Amino acid sequence: MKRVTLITIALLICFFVNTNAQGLYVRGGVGYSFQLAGQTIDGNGNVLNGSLNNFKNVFGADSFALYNVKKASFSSGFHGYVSVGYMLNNHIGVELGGDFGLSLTKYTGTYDNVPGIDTIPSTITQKQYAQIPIVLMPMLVLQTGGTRVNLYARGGFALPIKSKMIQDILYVNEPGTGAQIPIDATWEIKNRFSLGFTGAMGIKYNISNRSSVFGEVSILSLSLYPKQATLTKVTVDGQGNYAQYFYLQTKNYGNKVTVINNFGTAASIDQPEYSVPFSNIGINVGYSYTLFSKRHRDIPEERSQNQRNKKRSYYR
Amino acid sequence: MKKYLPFILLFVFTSSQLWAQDTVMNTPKKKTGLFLRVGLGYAFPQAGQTMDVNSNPYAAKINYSNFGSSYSFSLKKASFSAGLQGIAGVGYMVNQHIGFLVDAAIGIAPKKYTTTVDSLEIQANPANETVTQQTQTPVFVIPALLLQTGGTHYNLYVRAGIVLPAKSKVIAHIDDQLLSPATFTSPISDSNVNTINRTLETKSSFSLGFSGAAGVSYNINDQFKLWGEISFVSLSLYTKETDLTEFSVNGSNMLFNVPRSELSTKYGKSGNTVPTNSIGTVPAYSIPFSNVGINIGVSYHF
Repeated sequence: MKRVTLITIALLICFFVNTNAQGLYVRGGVGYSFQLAGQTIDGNGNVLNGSLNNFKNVFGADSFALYNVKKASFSSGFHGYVSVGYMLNNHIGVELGGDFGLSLTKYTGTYDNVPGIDTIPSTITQKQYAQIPIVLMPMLVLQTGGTRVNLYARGGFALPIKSKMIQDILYVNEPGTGAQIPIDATWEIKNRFSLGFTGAMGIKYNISNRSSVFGEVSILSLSLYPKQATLTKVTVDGQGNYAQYFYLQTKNYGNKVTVINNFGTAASIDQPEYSVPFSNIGINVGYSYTLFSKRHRDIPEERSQNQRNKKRSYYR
Repeated sequence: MKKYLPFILLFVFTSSQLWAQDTVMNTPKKKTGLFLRVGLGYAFPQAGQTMDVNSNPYAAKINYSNFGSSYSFSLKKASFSAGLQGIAGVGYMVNQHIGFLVDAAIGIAPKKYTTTVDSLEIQANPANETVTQQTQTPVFVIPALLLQTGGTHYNLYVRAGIVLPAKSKVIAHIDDQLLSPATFTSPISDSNVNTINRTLETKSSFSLGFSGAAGVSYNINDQFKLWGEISFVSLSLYTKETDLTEFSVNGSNMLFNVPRSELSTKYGKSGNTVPTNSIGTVPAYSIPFSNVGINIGVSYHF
């Protein structure tokens, strides 16, 4: 319901923009985003970006671990951005933007000497990434209103309308534990809708009456929470799809759940939800084109008025 | 209540000056120059986390059935900068539209997060556990660029800048109530334990955050403006060190009996987990500090 309401508001803004043709503009650009307020370890205790190598003592028990953890945010990487906006006057406007992940960072967490499939000591490599996420952003825009150069700021909501994650887990049993056969399990994770916030500050240079280029620093503050994970593919030594032979097919996440310890026998289990980091700070550049502007229409009139005034003074 | 008094007095003081000026109602003329501002606000968790690195929820009710055969969760998002906050800042308007602002956001009554766990086992002994976590008067310094529409009476404005966490210690109280007198061997030896109370203080490494706000201000006269805004902070802090500062059994202090290696945990981005006090560290994890807030206040323009 919340999702429908927010999308309706966004569409209403869009409708408002289109029904008031004055000051309408479109803009597009590309940018690169870095992880911000990122996490190092997820709610399951898994390293998102880095490694954890367990060492055993002479009795085979865990002795110590070498680790290396880095921050992760699944919206970092190359982005594309398109928007339509309407300037209500020289300083205030509204804008509806769409941000698309073009080539996002894939994060790899590696664990050595941990129990793998059938509890055999294994190396587990977990690769995770977001699959072309789309975030809709209805925003307020303020600008200084200069003729050539404009400082501007925009701020508003971030509505993630597509945020599927892929989790690829590769199990390879340790040397000396039998034939080393890689087993690769792929999970698709759907996230719940979650409201985020976005803002940017930048500078715009007007090339002509209608065209301008811009550069900006933007922020996205957003965490997503998984809703369901589905096992989609299992390959053995790179071959086939053995997903159907695995007991566990689905993991459901929620904030009010009862977890039953039947792992290994149930096809579906319930788990408490955890946050998936999506916040970023980005640098963007792009081009803006004004489709119709009251200000631009006025310029010739102002010029002609000035010319008339000049003529009057000449004849005096 | 005493700790809120300076903020209340400051707010009342500035407000009373504000009403005194209100009768004059001069047309505002000041567009540039130095200004001070104070305000109050409430911040809600945003982009928050539900569980820490050990899969322990920050704010939840957990009930174990038959001590582990199943357990039910009811968990909420958490951010340690949420709660009532005071704002004091100094700024300078370069011209009618552009200015700079340095705010200090001070947590007056930070939100306390509580997790209760019923029917769990502590060293094979049945127990109930309550964990409360809260920041201790967090302070964030927020330098920002300010853009405003520059209206005569009303101004829409946007500010955006960085967040420098100046104080961000998190205090956790863990209270264990054993369901029957129990025997413990670690970290202390005792054969008749009913309650265990622990306090852990976690310090964070310095980490840069970002903040933004959009708001409206109303010029009462040349000097005073009322303002209201919606703000957001995007910030995660990363654990640096956790110290055990209280350890009592059945109400008696037993901290001196805890081995030195268990008094402090140090965190790192890389290292090894050798459990000695000198070189062993564990992987650093993020503590959520992002929020979205609603703030109101007054500003004085020189």
